[in-house]
Amino acid sequence: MNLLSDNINLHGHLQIIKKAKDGTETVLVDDKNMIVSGMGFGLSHAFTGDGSDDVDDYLIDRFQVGVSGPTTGIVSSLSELYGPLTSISEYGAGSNNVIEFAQQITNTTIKILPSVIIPRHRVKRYDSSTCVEYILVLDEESCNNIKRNGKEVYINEIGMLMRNPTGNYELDSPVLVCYKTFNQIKKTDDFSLIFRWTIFNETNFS
Amino acid sequence: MREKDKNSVLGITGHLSIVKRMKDGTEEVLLDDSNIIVSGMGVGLSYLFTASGSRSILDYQIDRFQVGVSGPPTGGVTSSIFQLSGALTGTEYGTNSNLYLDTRDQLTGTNVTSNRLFALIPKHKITRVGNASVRYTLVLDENACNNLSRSGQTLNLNEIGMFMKNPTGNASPRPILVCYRTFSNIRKTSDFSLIFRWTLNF
Repeated sequence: MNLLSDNINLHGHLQIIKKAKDGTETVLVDDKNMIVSGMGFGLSHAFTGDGSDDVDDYLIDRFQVGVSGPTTGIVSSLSELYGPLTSISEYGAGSNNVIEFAQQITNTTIKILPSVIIPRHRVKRYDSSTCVEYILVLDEESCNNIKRNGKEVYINEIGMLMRNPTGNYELDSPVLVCYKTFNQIKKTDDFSLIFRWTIFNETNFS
Repeated sequence: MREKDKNSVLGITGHLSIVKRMKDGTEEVLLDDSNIIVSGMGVGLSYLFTASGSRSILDYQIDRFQVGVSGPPTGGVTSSIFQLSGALTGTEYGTNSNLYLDTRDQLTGTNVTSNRLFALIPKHKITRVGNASVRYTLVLDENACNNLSRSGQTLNLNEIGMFMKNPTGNASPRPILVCYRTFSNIRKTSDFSLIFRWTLNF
């Protein structure tokens, strides 16, 4: 039983696993993430009927990876990755991931950016709990040997997005809801990366 | 979108002010304090995020409330509360009140409790404030909840809770408690109405 509390916290925890072709796994990251203000933006639309009427539009159903995550100075008002991948080729044309372009709502403007769609079967609610787990996979063909301006760059940030809380009619308008930076990973076709992301509600212990 | 925290946590908080409004329009603030968000909120959100509950977004909205006479609960106020300690029943909400009452089975922990009475919150009293806050205005009018007594014993209002309508998507809605607050005894009479201004910040 939890102690007295006057608020409930949405936490996130991210584990990044490197899975080699021979099946061996190495945990690269095992740490909490940052829930950003887009989560509140989405929920306030859900609770007032000001946004989409479609439940699916409030699903966290996509993610982005990027190459410019800072080591410090990340704030919860963050609304986009610092250096998101911008094309199907950067995500890997040979990958099995489904890539979708959408007009992402950010603090400053609306940007057309690609995201990887999270298959439904990789989102799991634990029975009798308030915990939701997302399994995101960058397979062996994903995000390899990315270059910008002729220079090799490495992935070091990831974020998940809520699909379309405002109910935009023509094209989904996702919002960033959680974010994490990590040490640079030079992704190659020798391994896949598995991101095990858990969002859970827990009251503050005061 | 505004900045909330500089750490990894998004706190959903709630704030409740209770205003006593006399017939002549004068107002007195009886309470202005934070509330308790209870675990039912997390249950509802986990259904929403996995699309494993209701397929209607309306079922995830906080559209009803209860008041009660037995707060705080015996075990103390904890986030695991799933019901009011002494929610009003039958005609206690007031037969001449403007409240729209709805009787439903309520999710209470792992159980379902039959025939609980709820007062519905009109849509126009639910307002999105800023980018990440929602304000609910609940009104117990002059004809509501007056001169309560049970078995000849005088009772006073001292607890309130708001409910998410039906996150599990049951054919007949099963509300779940999502936020709760106790307050000092209020002997409600027809001389005044009570206005509960409840704000949830995400």
